[in-house]
Amino acid sequence: MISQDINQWTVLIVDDEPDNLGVAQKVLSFNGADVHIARNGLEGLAVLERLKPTFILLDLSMPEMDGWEMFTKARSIETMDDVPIIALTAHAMAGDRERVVEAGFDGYIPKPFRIDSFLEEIHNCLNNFGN
Amino acid sequence: MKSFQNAGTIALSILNKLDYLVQVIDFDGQILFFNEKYQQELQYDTVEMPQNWLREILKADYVPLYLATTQLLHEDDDAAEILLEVMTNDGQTRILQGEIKPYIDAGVRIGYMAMFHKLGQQTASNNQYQRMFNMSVDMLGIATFEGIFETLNPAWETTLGYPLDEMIGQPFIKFVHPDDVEQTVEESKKSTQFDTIQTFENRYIHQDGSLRWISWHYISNSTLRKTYFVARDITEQRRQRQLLHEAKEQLQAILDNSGTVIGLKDLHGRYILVNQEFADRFGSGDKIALLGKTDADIFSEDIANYLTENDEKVLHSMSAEQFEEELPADGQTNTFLTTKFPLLDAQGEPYSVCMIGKDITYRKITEIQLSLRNQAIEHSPSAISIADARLVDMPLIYINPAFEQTTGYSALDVIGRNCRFLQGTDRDQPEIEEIRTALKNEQPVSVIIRNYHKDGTMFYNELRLAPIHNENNILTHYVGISSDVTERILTEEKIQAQNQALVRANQDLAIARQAAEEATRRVREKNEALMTVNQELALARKQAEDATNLKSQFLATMSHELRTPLNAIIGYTEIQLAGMTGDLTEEQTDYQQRVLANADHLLELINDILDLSKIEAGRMEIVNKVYNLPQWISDIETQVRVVVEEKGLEFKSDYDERMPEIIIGDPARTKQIAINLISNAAKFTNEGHIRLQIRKHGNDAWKLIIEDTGIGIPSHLQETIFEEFRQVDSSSQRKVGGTGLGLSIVRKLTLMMGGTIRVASQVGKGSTFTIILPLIVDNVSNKAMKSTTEE
Repeated sequence: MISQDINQWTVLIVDDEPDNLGVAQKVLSFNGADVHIARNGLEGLAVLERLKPTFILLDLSMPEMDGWEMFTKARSIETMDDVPIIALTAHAMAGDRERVVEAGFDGYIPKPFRIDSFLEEIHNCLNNFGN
Repeated sequence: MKSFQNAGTIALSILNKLDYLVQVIDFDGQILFFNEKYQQELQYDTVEMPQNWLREILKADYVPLYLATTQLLHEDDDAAEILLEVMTNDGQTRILQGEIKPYIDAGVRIGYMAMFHKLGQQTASNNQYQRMFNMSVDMLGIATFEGIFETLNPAWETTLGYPLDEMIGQPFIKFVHPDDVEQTVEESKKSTQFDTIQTFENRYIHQDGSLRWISWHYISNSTLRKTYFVARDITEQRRQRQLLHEAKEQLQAILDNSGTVIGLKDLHGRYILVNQEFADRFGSGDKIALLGKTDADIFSEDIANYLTENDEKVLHSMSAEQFEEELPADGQTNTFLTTKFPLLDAQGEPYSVCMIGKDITYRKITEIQLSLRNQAIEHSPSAISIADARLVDMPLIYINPAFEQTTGYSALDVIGRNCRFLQGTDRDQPEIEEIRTALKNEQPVSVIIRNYHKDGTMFYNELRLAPIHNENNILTHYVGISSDVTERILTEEKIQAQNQALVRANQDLAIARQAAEEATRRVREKNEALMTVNQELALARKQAEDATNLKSQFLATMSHELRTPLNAIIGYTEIQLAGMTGDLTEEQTDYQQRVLANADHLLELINDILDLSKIEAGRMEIVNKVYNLPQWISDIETQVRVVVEEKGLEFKSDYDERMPEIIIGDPARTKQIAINLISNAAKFTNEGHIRLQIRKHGNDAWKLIIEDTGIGIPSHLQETIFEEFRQVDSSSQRKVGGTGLGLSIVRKLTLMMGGTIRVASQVGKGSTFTIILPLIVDNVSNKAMKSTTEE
């Protein structure tokens, strides 16, 4: 069971857009989470070598290594089995949510998001993880 | 060890006390042992015994006699009586008589052991030795170093046919065969250098001119310059040896060229003789290399075991038996028909198993082929018959079952008869003459003749006759192959008649055809034109598809790129409004809320434009599936309740009980329509309620009704509200927001789902939007549900 207390969270946010990174980082760190950031999949994997986050917020369209590839690579790391990975993406057209869920992501937050629904989706995701 | 030594000492003392003279010498006359009696008798008890008995003790006259005796011993006999004269140390002579035996050391004859009793001087008689000398069958004699016969016994006369006095005093070379002279001279020169026994063979000429092979044993005495010899006529022996050799060669040649593999094994299974074929097939071609080998050395263990089994069978039965043995040869497994039998020695005991094998692999294959050919003939659908051309009137000797079937005659009816019975009385056919000519010339012939079935019905027989010649080119048989071609001939006749009619008809048709061809040509031209159009259409379709794909790709990218900056705008605004960056003034809060509202509006606009574009691009797809209608309504309520209640309005929903709960349709698009209409209603309604109604409409449709108590739509505008970018009042946009695209999307989606939309409204009272959609019921799911709820 993952803690619902934001103060206990270590979060990895991977997004190439500095403003989007900024918003998500601000919301989470303001609420007490320990936030680490990366600007593409490669950087994200490098962070995972150093630490094990409570969960990962992962953008899909990124240079160098996109979110789909990083997702596959991160899932192949055994120690990351119990780390939920939530897609945080501006791909929000019909069918996109299904594509993400089918790929095995543990959650889907379409951009633009509202802070309330953002936090709610994360809580839902952590609640459902492993069930 | 001690007792053994004692035994030696005892034996020696016995030997010394014996009243016999005992001596042991080797083949060259060297003394190996003598006893004390011998020593005393020959006066050598004070001086050392000479080394060579033959040269220094035996009297020269007796050397040939001694040689003759020992030669016998040397070859086969076990013992011989002997009488000799020897010299004592002080120059006296002694006569010794006794027995000599071969002296065997470690299984090898290396010399002689002699046991003499002394006869003494008084009993010695030259006559005695002369008698023995004269009686000897072997040729004895003495020759000088100059090559002259000095003394010869009468055996020479017997052997060579010359009187003795014609030979004595003559050079021996005179009697030697011219071809052997050189070799003999050489040997006689050499002989003067040896004082040990030498052997030699050469040819002498008999007085009658015939050849005699002579074998010599001789020893020379260089002091006396004489050679003592014993010679024997071995002509017959050599002839036998030659005959034996030739017989062996003949046997081997027969074995090697017999066309069979032959092998002899001893009772231990070791090969003692194999022929060339055996060595070629099972070995590397070297016969000698196979000798001493067993089957296990040559073949695999399995094969060796069963060959041994067969060998044991014939050793047990003691008779010749035949086997089919599978043996590896020439890189494959061949079948050999082998005959095996035991070979018996003089005592009638088996000492060997002989195997003679014939490779019948190919014969077997031939047998199979013959059997196949027989079967082919027996089962041939063609009637086949064979007649014997060497017998009077060429009677049939074979017919196959197809012949019986074609003619109705059985083999019993026809074998032994000439096949002309098939012609009945119909003998005037020209084809029969054709057959006769061919038979006379021994030629093959092929004709179609009228023949008659046993029951008298006529049939056309397509008959091919072929002569068979034997290896001497003599005609022996005729083979006939017949086919009943009646049907074909009759059909051909019919066709011929029809053909004539057709020729006439064709002429008429030719004219018609010409006209038709002209018409066809025109049609073809049209077709070609059409094909060109089709190709162009296909190309256009492809281009359109490509364009559509590009469009949807563009839409996806646009959607993503528009949402990304909006996220930053909405996000940062909310962060500030939430006080994460410190307190805001009232004015700042107001402005930030306006930013947020505008961003929301922009997002709505983007969503609507994208939806509309998707519909326009033909990329909006209706996905029909089974869904639960009450659940669907409940989802909508959850989603709109906040918006509706924020404005202080009441949300009501009304469900027609006649509606099935499970229906088939696109729940997502239908929900989009409902929410769009409800949000729209909320915008234009300031008090009262919004009601969602579901109504069954006939048997095949249902209604989705959204009713509000809002400002209403003037009747003259009710027709245009579904067009893009239309709102009832352009000024109202500012007041209520909205893109003006919502109703347009609702209408298009409704149409896509095969439905209709209409609006009824009264200004100031409110509006009612009614969507009518086709009702497709999923009977299976409904029944299942009903039964579970009833339970």
